[in-house]
Amino acid sequence: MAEVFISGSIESADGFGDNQLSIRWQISHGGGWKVMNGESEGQTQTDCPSIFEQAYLSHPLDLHLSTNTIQGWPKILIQVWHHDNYGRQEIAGYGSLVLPSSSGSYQLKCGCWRPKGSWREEMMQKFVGGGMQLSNLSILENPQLREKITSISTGSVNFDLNIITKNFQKFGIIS
Amino acid sequence: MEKKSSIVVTVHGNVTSAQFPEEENICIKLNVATSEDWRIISGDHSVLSSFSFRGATSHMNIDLPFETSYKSSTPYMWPRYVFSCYSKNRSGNDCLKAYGSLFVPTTPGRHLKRVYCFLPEPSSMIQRITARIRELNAELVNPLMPGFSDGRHALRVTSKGYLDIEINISIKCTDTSLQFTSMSHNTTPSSTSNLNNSDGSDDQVLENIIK
Repeated sequence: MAEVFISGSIESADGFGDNQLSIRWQISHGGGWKVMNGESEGQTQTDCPSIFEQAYLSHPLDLHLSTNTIQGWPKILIQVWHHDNYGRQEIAGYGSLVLPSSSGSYQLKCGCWRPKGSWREEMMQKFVGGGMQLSNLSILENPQLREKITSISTGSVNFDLNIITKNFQKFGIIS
Repeated sequence: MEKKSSIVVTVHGNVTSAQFPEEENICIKLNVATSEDWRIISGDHSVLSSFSFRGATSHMNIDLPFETSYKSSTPYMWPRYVFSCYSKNRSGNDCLKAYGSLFVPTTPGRHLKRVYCFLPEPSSMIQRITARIRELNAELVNPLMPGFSDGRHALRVTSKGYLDIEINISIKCTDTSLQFTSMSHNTTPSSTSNLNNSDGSDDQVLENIIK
């Protein structure tokens, strides 16, 4: 069985207005993959930037996956939640990050988007807050469904990830 | 039937400088945080720097060299460092100013990392005023918590400053099936020049140089 170790952190996020954010992440992979160790989803701390402009999260990720197929390489799906001064939370963005399939250290950037409503809904979101959300995350997991929605771009999230692979040479995989 | 393999990672590093715009002086305590199989085979578990005051330039130079060797049988839960930053207040007492955590890179070579350190936010206005008067901030019960992901969703924080760290990694691995860098050595040098320095300090371009 080939194994992949993913370690690193969700470093920072920027471009989401006042950047008071927390990020919910989850791993999405194909059928042949199995999570052996580590949590497959989580939520970072909430950062309220006072000195810097970006939100710095430094959330550690540790995952150990095993697989018998190269298809369905894992992706990280993120939901960026914005916390406002009244304690409410609203969606600031969704994104998906395809993990590199070769070992090494990477600095990755995931651009985020949120669903765009009608003119009226956008105006409400601007004044009152609490915009549109996806009712389920299958759109993030399955790219075939993306054509059904309109989205508007928000900010981006930076990741600092290390990938270690094991037994890939044994199976003759060059990556 | 696999024979027991081991990975030995040796880290030689130096906390070069820090930038905490709200503080006059800072002292960094570096703790090694490991879990699962990883053991420290040489090096101290925690290292403390001097109290560095801000000089004529706007930087605080910390200059804290450190060296640690870890050993494990599996790359899961690669070790990390947790930083606690203290400053001396007017009455001469130390108070905690920020926490930070650094993931030890898994590729051999020299890396320059910038660690942004945060402080847990007070949960109400009364707490905020009390902390300001007593010059005592709320601390985490477990100082190694910033290195791990348990319970972080409950934390509300604000970033207070950053540390620049130079770190050199050597890996000795008896298990030949593990690959740490890609075979084509094609990983482009990554520059984090999009770091936003709102305090006006010089822009530093950080590069990953893989041996």
